[in-house]
Amino acid sequence: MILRIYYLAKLYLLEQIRRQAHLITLFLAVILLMLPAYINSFSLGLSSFERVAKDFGLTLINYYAVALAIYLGVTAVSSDVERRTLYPLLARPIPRWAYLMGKFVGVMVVMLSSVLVLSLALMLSVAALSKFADGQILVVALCYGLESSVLAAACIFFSTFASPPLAGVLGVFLYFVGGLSTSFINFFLVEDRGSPAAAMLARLLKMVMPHFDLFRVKNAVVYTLPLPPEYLASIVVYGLAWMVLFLLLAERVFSRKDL
Amino acid sequence: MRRLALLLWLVLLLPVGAQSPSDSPSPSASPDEDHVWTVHGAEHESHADVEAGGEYTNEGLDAKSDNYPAIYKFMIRETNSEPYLRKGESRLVLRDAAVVWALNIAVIALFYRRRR
Amino acid sequence: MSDDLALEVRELRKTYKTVGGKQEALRGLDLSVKRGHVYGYVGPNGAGKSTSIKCLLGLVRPDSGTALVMGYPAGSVEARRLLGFLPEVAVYHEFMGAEELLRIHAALAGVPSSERTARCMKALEMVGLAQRKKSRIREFSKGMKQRFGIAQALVADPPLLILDELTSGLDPIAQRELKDLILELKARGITIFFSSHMMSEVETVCDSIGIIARGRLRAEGTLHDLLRLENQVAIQFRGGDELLEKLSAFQPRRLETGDLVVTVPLPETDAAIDAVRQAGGSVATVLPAQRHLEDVLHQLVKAAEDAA
Repeated sequence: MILRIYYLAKLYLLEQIRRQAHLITLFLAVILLMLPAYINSFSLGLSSFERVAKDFGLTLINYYAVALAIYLGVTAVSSDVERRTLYPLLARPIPRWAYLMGKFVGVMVVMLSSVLVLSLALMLSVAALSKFADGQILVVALCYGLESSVLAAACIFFSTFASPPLAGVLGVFLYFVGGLSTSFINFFLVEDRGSPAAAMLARLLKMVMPHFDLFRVKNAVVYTLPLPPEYLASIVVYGLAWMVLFLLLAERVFSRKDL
Repeated sequence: MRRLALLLWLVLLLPVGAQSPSDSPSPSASPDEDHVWTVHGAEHESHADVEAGGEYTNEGLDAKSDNYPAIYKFMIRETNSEPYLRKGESRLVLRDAAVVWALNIAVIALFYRRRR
Repeated sequence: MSDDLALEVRELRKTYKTVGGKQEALRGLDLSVKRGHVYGYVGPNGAGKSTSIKCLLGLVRPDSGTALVMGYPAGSVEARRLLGFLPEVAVYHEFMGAEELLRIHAALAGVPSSERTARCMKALEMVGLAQRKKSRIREFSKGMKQRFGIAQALVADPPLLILDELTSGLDPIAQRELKDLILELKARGITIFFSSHMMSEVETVCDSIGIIARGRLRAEGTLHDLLRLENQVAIQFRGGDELLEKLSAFQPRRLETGDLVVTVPLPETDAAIDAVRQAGGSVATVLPAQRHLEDVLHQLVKAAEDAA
């Protein structure tokens, strides 16, 4: 069955390549390659250009990974259903969970390879100016990859019962509320808006959602702080737990669905 | 489904309303933190100016911030606070992970036992 | 289940929930397809053809009833291992090359890697696409896509083919080519179950036929059984237009071949032949009377609707 998952992922990957989706990644990589030099030209030789370039570059990678996760997650299964390319595939001796896994693996490969290419471009361009290759950029980018993988699994789950636009909205909602930091909730809803009840609701909602803010470790790179391996390990375990949960729920809904 | 989508979009757009200038007092300097980094995301365009020592200083930003939209006030405060990793954070994350894994086991037991 | 049955469906029911309420797609469907037979599955739009095919593939879960495919429960991995499926609308991953996509289908069907190349080439040759194996699917015409669909259904060498609307939307030449292909596959002993709107196609290639209307099978049997008119004979004869008037009591009609024909009850055969001769006609054949499949379908569908 692993081989069948591999071939389904391969089919998805080949289709994305033929659709030239990777060209967007390459375009962003070129921007990231030029970014530090561009920022440096404004900083008048001050040393902080590196920090700003990393900050801006990693934010760009984060947003791109999230956009990819929502788009690919929502369309992976639904596009097969809408185009009816699903029928000849599911007429093969493949359980539906294997089909979903094949799609998820395909989405992961597209997302993680994109994040890797972009973070390598950022690392190289920063290194070209600062004469120091900061490997932590890759680690932070992979944390974004993990965050996006959780979001993609959630979007695949949403797409098993909702239309693509609604699944997309649910994905954005999950990412937005699940990613709110406690300080953000306190500031906006308690201090600024004076609404403890709304803050309570936001905290309750966040409690049952993946805490996406845990994966955002960009400041370790921006402020040159250590990234404890035990913390990285803990967010991997945490991310995997949510991915498995969303995929289990997706399988549950999808396997009972009339196609 | 369409109504639900519309409702969710409205909920998503609520924070945009929160960006309007507020009469509330300036935020305190030490927010209660639960999670890893005090500078979450730090999507601050003003960061370059602050760090590069341009015409804006941190103090200057703070002084002006009373009239800023809430989102900028939040960013300024987050920028001014020192980033740190909360002690024992990994354990908290692992605790949360354990809860979700337990949920996974419950889902498997509930949904897949009968199928087997 | 009988060992000589490729498909066996008993009391299959399926109701869809719709915006306005419920829609019964299958209302106790019974179906039997013998191994090695070509089975034509005909019925009007909305009769339940697609739903029943989806049930056989496991794409739709029936509310009740049983369906067995080659002896295994419909939709099970074992059942799907033994069938090839051509969907109604042949849509494939358009950006892929024909052989490239076929290889992936072969892998998904469980064909060992050592045999994949040979199986793909054999399937492409069988449908006449070997020369276009490198072409992308989107470069294919509709007929070629349909032939590619049959190749992907055949690639794992299954003993059963389920073809949904085989020749819909194809030009007469492509239809003819596909009919010939079906006959070739039949000669190889493959069981073929196909739904169609083309009565001439069904009459030409099928060993047995099932007619579905309003979610139930209204008639099933060989073509001969379904078309035969009990205790009636058709007297075919040659003659001019004046015979139409002289024999008006028998309601004669002219065939495409130019001959005239009258259909009469068996006991009146001699009297009718005498009448034809006396009117100046020359009797050519006297055979058991038959109907057209289209007439049978129309009659059964109307009866089902009247009963509802």
